[in-house]
Amino acid sequence: MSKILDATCQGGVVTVDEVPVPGTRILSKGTGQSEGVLLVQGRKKTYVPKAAPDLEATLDRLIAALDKAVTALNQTASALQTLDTSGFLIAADMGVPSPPQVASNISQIQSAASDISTAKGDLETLKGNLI
Amino acid sequence: MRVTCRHGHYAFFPRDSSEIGAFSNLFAEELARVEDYYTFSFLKDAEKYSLEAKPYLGLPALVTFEGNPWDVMRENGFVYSVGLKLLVPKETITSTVGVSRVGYYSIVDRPLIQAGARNASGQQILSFDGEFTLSSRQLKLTEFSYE
Repeated sequence: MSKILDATCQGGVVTVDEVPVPGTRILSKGTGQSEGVLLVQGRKKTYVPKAAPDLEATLDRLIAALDKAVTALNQTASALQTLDTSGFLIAADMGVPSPPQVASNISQIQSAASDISTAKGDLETLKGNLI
Repeated sequence: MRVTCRHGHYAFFPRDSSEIGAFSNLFAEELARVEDYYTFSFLKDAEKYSLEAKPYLGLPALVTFEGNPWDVMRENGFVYSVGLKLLVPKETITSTVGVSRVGYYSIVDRPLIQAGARNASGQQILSFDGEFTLSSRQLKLTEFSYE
């Protein structure tokens, strides 16, 4: 049997109801501030942190930034594609647009956007798995 | 009625409900039901853990510990004072008790032993198990230990 109590930890000091609990084994670096639970079994004391709020916030910012990057890259690729395929009329060609010149480069931009989108998905999964 | 004291925590095991009422009248103290035993009302809400420096039944706990209430009291050096109806440090108990061997039992010179009471050598009785006979108001100990 063990007792579970809400606790906080900062600078290696675990606290329950604002009272320090010395001699607690901390299952994290214990340097940043965190919320978690204190498990007490007999004389053994163990602190288990919940998901670090700063880690979750950092992941949120990273995901938002990657989202912006994907959108920008796709818009860039689309704009370039429009320019590349719009061509210009050549009277000598009876109005047939010139062929695309940079299709390969545009394709690489689109591929990069796809890879970033995949990485963004991995980060969202990681965030969802935080305990 | 069987009476036990484990590290200063009292538990009573009546054979029928009338024994609880009779005991309460005799000692002018209500007993409360906890799980499968009765105990003094003050001990009814004894937690199964203590946090160092936080109050445990009114006394600042000396250690962080999880376990049955009597184990928590043992680790913190606390006993229940029958006279004061409070938890006290065991060192503060200075009363004495006389224990005599009679056949298979030990007889004490009072109806109930105050946990922490001392023998002639100063040793404290903190745990005992016995049978309290209401009609004779006598406690026969089947076992006890000095700590």
